[in-house]
Amino acid sequence: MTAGRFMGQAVARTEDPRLLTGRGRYIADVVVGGASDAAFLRSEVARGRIVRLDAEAARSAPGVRAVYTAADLNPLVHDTSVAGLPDAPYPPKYCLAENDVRYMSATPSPSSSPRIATSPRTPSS
Amino acid sequence: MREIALTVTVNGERVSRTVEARRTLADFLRDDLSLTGTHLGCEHGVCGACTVLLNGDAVRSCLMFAVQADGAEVTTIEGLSERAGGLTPLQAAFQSEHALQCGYCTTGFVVSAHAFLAECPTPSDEEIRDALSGNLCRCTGYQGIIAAVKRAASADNGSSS
Repeated sequence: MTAGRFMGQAVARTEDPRLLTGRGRYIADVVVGGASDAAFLRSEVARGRIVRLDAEAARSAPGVRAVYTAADLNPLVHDTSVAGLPDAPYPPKYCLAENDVRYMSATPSPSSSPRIATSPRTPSS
Repeated sequence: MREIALTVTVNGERVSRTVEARRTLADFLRDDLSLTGTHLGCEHGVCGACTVLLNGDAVRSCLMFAVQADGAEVTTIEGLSERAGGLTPLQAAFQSEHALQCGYCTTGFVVSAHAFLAECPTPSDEEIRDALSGNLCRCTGYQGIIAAVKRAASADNGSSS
């Protein structure tokens, strides 16, 4: 590294021009054939037990490809807790909330509302 | 789904399309016109990332249906940028003041600041803060952004910053 080039002076970021002019490329800008949009149902309470989930209306909404709940996904995904102190009790953290929700916006899974479901993206013309 | 015909002038170009009634202006710009410089952060009018100009006024394109823009003139970040790829004085001020990092909120800030400076060419810091209070940045912070708008304003007025 040449000290004269980088030390003691501002170095212009090469990404700034595209980010400033709307030519940046983010994940939502990438068009992949057959990709679907996903929507998540989020808990509206800070603490609660999941007594029942009815995803039937979501499944039958037009354009819906799939509806997944904790029962579908959690067995496939490891506990995602960030390790705490050794031997300290820490509740398990699931991919989708299972049995209970412990904070606002926990994602129990789809309910009966169709806005929860996944639907194919409208193809761009 | 109910489809409605729409004619709108986007960045100076007249565009006629048929869209679902429920399609937001933001989705119309991004998905139908491939103008992906308009970003969606919150999709409920809080973050300002989707800000565009509607007949010159800064509006949130996530809070409007595309069909509500029928007959109007819409200007996006692409329309406020030079086609050759250079930076406008406002955009250059953002770069000089390190007013962006990831860039996601940036296009919304640039559009908001553009509309604001057109209305208020010699703003105080307080006026700049007030004007940009509807845009959220989660990585850079606001000091650089305010400095950038200030720098662009003083450059426009011919004084050195």
